Amino acid sequence: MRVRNIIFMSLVGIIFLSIIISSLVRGEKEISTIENRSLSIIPTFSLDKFLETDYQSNLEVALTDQIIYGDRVKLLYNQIKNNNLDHIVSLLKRFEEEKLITSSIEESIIEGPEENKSKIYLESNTIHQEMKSERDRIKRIEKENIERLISMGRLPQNSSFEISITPRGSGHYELDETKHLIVRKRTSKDADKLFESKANNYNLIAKNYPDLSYYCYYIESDVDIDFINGVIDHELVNLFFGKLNSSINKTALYLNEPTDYQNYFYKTDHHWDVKGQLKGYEDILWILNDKEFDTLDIETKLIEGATYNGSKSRTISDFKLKDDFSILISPLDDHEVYINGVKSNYGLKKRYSEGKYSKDIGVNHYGIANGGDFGLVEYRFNQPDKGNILVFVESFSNPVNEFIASHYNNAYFVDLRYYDKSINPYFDFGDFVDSKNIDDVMFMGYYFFYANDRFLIND
Amino acid sequence: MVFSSLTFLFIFFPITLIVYFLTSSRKLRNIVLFISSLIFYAWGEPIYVVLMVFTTLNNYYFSLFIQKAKDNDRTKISKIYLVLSLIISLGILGYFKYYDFLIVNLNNLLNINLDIHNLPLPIGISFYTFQSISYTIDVYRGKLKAQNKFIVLGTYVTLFPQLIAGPIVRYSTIEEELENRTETVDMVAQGLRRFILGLGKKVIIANQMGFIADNIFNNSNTSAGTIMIWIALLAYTFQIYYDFSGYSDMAIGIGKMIGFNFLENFNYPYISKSITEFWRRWHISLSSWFRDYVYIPLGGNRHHAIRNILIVWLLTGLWHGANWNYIVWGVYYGLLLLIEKYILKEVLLRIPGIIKYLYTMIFVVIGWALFRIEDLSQLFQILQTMFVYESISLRTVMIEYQDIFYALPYFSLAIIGSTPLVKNSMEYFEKTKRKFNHIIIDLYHISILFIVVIFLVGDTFNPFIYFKF
Repeated sequence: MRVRNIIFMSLVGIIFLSIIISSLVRGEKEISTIENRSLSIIPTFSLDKFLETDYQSNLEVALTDQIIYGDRVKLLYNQIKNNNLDHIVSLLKRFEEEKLITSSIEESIIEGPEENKSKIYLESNTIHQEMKSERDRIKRIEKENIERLISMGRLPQNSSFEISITPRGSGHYELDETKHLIVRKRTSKDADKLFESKANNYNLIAKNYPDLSYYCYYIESDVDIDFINGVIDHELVNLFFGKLNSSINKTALYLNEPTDYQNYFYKTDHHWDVKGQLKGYEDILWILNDKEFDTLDIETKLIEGATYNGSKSRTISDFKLKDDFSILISPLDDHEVYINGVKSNYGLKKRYSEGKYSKDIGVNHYGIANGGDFGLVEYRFNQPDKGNILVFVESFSNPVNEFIASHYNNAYFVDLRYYDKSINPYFDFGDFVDSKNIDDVMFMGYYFFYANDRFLIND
Repeated sequence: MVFSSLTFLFIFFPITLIVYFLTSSRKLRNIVLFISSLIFYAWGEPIYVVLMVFTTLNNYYFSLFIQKAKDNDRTKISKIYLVLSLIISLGILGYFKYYDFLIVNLNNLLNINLDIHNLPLPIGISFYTFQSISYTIDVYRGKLKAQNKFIVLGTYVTLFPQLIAGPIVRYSTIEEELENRTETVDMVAQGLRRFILGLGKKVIIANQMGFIADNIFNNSNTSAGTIMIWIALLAYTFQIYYDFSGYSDMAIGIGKMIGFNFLENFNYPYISKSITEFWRRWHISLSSWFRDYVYIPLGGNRHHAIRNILIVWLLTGLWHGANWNYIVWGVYYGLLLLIEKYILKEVLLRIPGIIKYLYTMIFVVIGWALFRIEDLSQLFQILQTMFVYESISLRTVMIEYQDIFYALPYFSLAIIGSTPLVKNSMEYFEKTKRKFNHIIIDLYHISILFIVVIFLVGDTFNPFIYFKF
């Protein structure tokens, strides 16, 4: 018994010691590629932090991050979780399908096959004209115009649809047909207060600086579509635009049908795919139509062999789900780029085009190829006859920054999440537009850009 | 600090054990335990550690005064010392745990506007206060001699294995061991196995069950329907058992490793066939504490038994938390026990075991609903949904509650583990004296340890429910 106990204790001791020693020998790891984040490092002890219990919680997080083979252990754990989920979901889906088959057989015997019930509603317009013929003519023109704008995706169009989805855990679902991972739609209740403060912020800026031109571009995404109940009603963008003053020009990447989402967005990431990026660029030129910009000749380049595991596949830890990865390229005039005031290169599109990129699992190609998130990215195209633009952005703008910038003399892309951390002094709208001779101001982002107080503009 | 944290497992525990076993004298080992226990507590409560030391000092000095008064046959004086000590200990507990509850209710009742403190509840205050006062009462009763070495009493009150979530260890249980314990290789190994089992209960089962319960209870998108409410409550029923009994196992295991033999706190409560039996098997150290320090002094079975039972259960409810649902929960059990004692006693003897089991479990699950849901209107809604059938479609379950599928398979482990099946099997294998069986048992423990590390690293969801008591 004694020998057995000594062996048992020794084994447990060896396990603990080997984990501790190998973690120490390896040294601190800074980045987790799979989680796409910086890892916490062992904190330095200070009495203040200990008394506030920050030291304790930071140490626990750091140990979780720094333990040897932590990445693999996390992957293994998530694999166990996902296996549980997949088995139960497939079991329940099979059960549900059998139930549906049984009930449809019963119904077809009584009523015959049910027809597809998808509907499309067009928004109505009212036009006041005295002359019937004139009214008809205007109506016809307007109808044609609306249809044209709808077909271009520049006006919202409500629709209902049926789509088959499968739960994938952590609040994610998979569209069965195209394997797009989606999250649930946000409600106006979630958004209302946040939209209110953001809209008030923009309205005040526009009121205080009336000489500037203002543009707002809202990128609809899966959080704007109710995939679960099969409804597209543009509730969120309409709510937000309804709160903005008329002095701000506005349009959106309107997703009028589920296929729009599937066309414009990655399967595994919350960002837009190259088609969405291109559409975004075209929309932005359209909203800036008074400037009469010429559209750039942009080429889509598929990066051979690059597979992209976006944020959603990382969240559910399923690295088998992948996207092809492409980038947008256009021969631009000579220009300089400054990141946080330092002359630099933004993004690695050229290297990607040459096939020079990491082949590791979970690499954030979107951020690396198109450029990361920085407080201030400045483009100088040296076209003094053109104006200057200030664009408030988050990561959606990264792939198209250079294209937008090419239409201006100087273009400034400000990400308020990072600006105050990297640029001194803190961002002040008045100072910025005065010092940079700004003509146009644009707000550009998806739901969380607008429903988020971190992007409020100080003045 | 919690046992199921990497900080405890990879830093605190190994260092404490190494330093403990490197010191040779009993006195030094007690000092190591006392200091490490203070660090353990201060890790989570750096400020309130002072409060715990103060409570210990209060009971240390007043017990010495009581002892002195008793030695000089000054009974009245010793009683005054006891009352003073109780006022201070219970006053601290009352101030930190019940003051706000009292003020809120007074404000509502009298339509006044007294300020509340909103002070955070010191971790484990109910446990160490009850341990401390039981010591002082026992000294007053003459069952114990007052301990004149502060380090020894301090080690008893602050002893980290059982400090923050019990079991409530009486001084008399470990009096001898505090100064004359022996640590053997066999005890360390047995303790280690017990600790690993407790850790597994907490991390592998309780956390998963908690995940299911939280996911269903916290989902405000849709009405959960009867089936999901029952799943949530069953998950919570298992969560609270594995959380608390796992913690007790870890405490008993660590205790054994350093030479202490704590009493068992759980004895498979979910196989009980009556509520009375359930409470003989659940949180045994608390039930026996109330029996010895409240119920019997009030007169026990001999005088006003009904009143005494109701008082004890009202206090048991209040001990668990300062909210009306805990009071309702306590009174609920008081009434059930009275009904069993005076009405159902004979009936329960005659009906089949499975019926008795179902009856017990249904009332236990209802009890946990009372315990879990602090908002009384939500509680009534849930109780209604439990018994008035409300449907939910399979699609809604898949959409709204998909994350519970991660954890649902662990229900099977929870059910099996709540019976003595595993324990009996292991005991059987141990008795066979076959080396192969012993290797299997030890590999089983080591596997649990590996799985625990995988779960701890893979998941950060790791709260201990019993901390708030």
